[in-house]
Amino acid sequence: MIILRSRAALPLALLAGAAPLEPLAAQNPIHVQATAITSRVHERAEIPGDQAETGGTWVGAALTAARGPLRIEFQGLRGQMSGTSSDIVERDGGEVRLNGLWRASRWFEVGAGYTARSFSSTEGYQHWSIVSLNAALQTVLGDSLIHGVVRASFSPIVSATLPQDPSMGLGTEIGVVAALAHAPFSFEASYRFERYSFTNDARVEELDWVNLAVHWKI
Amino acid sequence: MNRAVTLAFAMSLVARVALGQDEHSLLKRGAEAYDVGEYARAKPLLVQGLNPALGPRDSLWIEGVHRLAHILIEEEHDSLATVWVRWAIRSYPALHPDTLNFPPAVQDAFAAAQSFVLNGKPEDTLQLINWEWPTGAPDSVAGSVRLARGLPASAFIDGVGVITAGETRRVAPGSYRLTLGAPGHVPVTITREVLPGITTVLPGRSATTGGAPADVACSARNPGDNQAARSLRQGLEHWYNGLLDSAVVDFAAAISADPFVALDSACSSLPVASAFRSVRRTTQSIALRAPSDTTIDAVTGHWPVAIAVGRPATLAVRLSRVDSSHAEWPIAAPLVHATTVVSLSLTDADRRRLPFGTYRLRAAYSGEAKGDAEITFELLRPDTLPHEAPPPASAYRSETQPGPRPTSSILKGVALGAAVAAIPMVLGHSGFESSEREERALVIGFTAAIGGVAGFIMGRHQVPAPENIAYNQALRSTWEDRERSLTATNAARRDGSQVRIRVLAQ
Repeated sequence: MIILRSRAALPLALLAGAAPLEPLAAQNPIHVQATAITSRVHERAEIPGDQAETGGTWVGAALTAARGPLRIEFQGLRGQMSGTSSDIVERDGGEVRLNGLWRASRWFEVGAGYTARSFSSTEGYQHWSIVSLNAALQTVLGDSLIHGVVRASFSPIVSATLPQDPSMGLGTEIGVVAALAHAPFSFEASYRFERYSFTNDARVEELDWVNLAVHWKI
Repeated sequence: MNRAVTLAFAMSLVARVALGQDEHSLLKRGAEAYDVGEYARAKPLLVQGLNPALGPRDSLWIEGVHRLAHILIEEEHDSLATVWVRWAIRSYPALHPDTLNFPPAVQDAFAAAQSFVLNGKPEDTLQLINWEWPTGAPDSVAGSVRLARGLPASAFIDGVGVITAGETRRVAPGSYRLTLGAPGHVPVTITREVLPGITTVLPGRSATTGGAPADVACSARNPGDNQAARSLRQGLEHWYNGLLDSAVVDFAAAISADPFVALDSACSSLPVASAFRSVRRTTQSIALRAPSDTTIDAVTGHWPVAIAVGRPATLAVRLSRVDSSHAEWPIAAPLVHATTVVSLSLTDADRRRLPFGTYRLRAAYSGEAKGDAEITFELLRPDTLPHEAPPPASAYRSETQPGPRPTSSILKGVALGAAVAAIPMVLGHSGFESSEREERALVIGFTAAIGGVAGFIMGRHQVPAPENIAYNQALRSTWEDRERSLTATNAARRDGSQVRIRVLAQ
C-alpha cells in the first residue's frame, strides 16, 4: 500500500500509475462509432375499455465507444407522433438511452442500461424512466459483411408519470447489419418491440420501432 | 609440328637401324657383361646404351647408370663415376640410388651427386643441353663442349675460357660453370657435366626453339599484379620468344617471390610446365596463407593454413607468442611437395585453448636449409552474432482459403425473419386491434431473410489451407532453428569455447 507523505508524492504516484496504462491503451485501442438513425415508431396504450395508438417518425443519433470487451452506447431520438384518430392530439416524443455492454464471447454481450423517454403535448407531459438488463446475440449471415443481431431486454424498474408505474417491461430487437467492404460504413435495419405491464392489468403499453441506421466507424 | 616430329622419329629409326643396335640391347649386353665381371666389355656398352637419344630413361637405363658408376669406382675412377651420376640425376631428377643391388660406394656417389645437383641454382635444372654420342664406343677420355652453330652468342666456361658459336673445345670430364650470353639477353650461368668421349652441345636459339614454339600459349593459374605474377608473365614471354635462359631466371624469381604461383593446369604437359616444375624443385621458398578472419571451436576446431614451397621438403611449423617471451613450440611437420593445406589445432599440450593474444606461426625448412615464412595473428574472443529479424508478415501466406457457400446463412436469415415476424405475436398484447405492427415486423423479417440469402450468395466460409499453414510453419521453424543455432553459437562465443583468429600480417 502506498502512503502519500507529501504533496510532491502525488504527481509521482499518478505518473507511476499512469505509466502502465500506456501499453494497455496500445493493446486495446478505443473504437468509436457514430450512428444516424431514423425510426418509424408506434405506441399503443390500452386502459380497460379504451385504446389509443399514435405513430410518427423519430430521428436521432448514437455514439458508441468500445474498448476491449466493454462497449458503451449513447443514443438519442426525437420526433413527433400523431394519433390514428382525430381525437388524439399530436405530441412530441423522444428518448435518451445509455447502455453498457460486456462482450462475453464473439457473439454474445450482456449489460445494463437506462432509458429516459418523454412525451409532451398541449395536454400534458409524460416521462418514463426505465432501467433494463440487456443481452445481445450476433451471428454472421454467410459473409462477414452481413450480420444478424438479436437484442433482448428485461426492465425490472420502470417508473412513469402515470397513475401507476409499470410493474415490468420486456423488449426485443432483431435486425440485419450490412457493412461495406473496405469502407467505414454499415447499414442496419431492425425491428424493436417493447411491452410494459401494469399491476392487475390496469393498463398495457407497447411500442415498436422500425429503425434504419447508418453506422460510421470513426 | 607433327611433320617435324614424324621426321625426327624416322631419322632416329634410320640411325638405329644403321647402328644395328638400340639402347636396350646395348644396356642388356652391358648388364650381362657386368654380371659376369667383364667390366672392360661392359663399360663401353653401358656408355653407349646410356645415350638419351636412343630410348627412354627406364629401369634398365637407371640400372645402367648404377652399373657404370660401380665399374668406374671399381676402376678407381671415382671422379668419372661422380660426373656420370651427376649427369644422370640432372637429366632424370627422379633418379634414386638402388641401395639393395649396389654397394655403398655407389650409394655414396649418388648421395654426393644428388646433393651437388639439388643444391645448385634453379637455372641448372633447365634441359638446355644436348649431348652427342659417338657412333661407336667413345675412344677418348676427354670430353668436348661445342656451342651450336648459328648462334650469335658466346659461352664462357669456367677454367677453360670463351668459346664462340660453332667452336668445339676439348675439356676434361667434370662439372663446369657455363655462362651463356647474347646481345640483348640476360646472361645465364648454368652448371653442366662434360662426359668422357661425349660432346656437350650448348644450344642456341636455333637449337632451343625446338621446344618453345611447339608449346601452345600457357598462362599463370592465378594472374595478379604482384611481383610473382609479373615475373611469371615475363618468364612466359621469354619462353615463347625462345629466351629460355631468361625464362628460367624469371620463373625462379616468381617462385621465390611467391611459391603459390603456378601455371595453368591446362599446360601441365607442355615443355614450359616441365621447365617450370624443374625450377620449382630447386627453388627454396616458403609461403603461408590463412583465412584473414575466422572463428573456430577453441578445442576441437582446426585452422586451415595453406603452405606452398618451391623445393619439396618436410617443414617445421612452429608457433610462438608475440606479446610475451614464450619460445616457439612445434605444432606440425608436414611434407610439402608443392602446396598443401594443414589443419592446425590451436591448443596447448593439454588440449586446452591457447590464451588470447598475438601469435606468430612460422614454417621453415627442416635441417640446415634456409627459407621460412610466417603469419602473425591474433587470438581473440569472438564477437557475438547479431540476431536475425523474423520473417516479415508479407512473407507468410494466407492460412485460410474460401470454402463452400454457407447454406446455413439462408437458414439463419429465414430464422431471424420468422423471429422478427413472431415478435408482435409473442410479446404483443392481443387486445390491440391494429395489425400494422405485424406488417412492420414482417417487413424487417423479410429484410433479415434477404440478408441471409445475400450472405449465401456473397459469402464463402474461410477454411484452413493446409499447404499454406505448413509453409508458414516451416518458415517460422526455419527462422527459429536459425535463432536457436545463433543463440547457441553466441553462448559458445561468450563462454570462450570458440576463438576468433584474425591475421595481422602474412
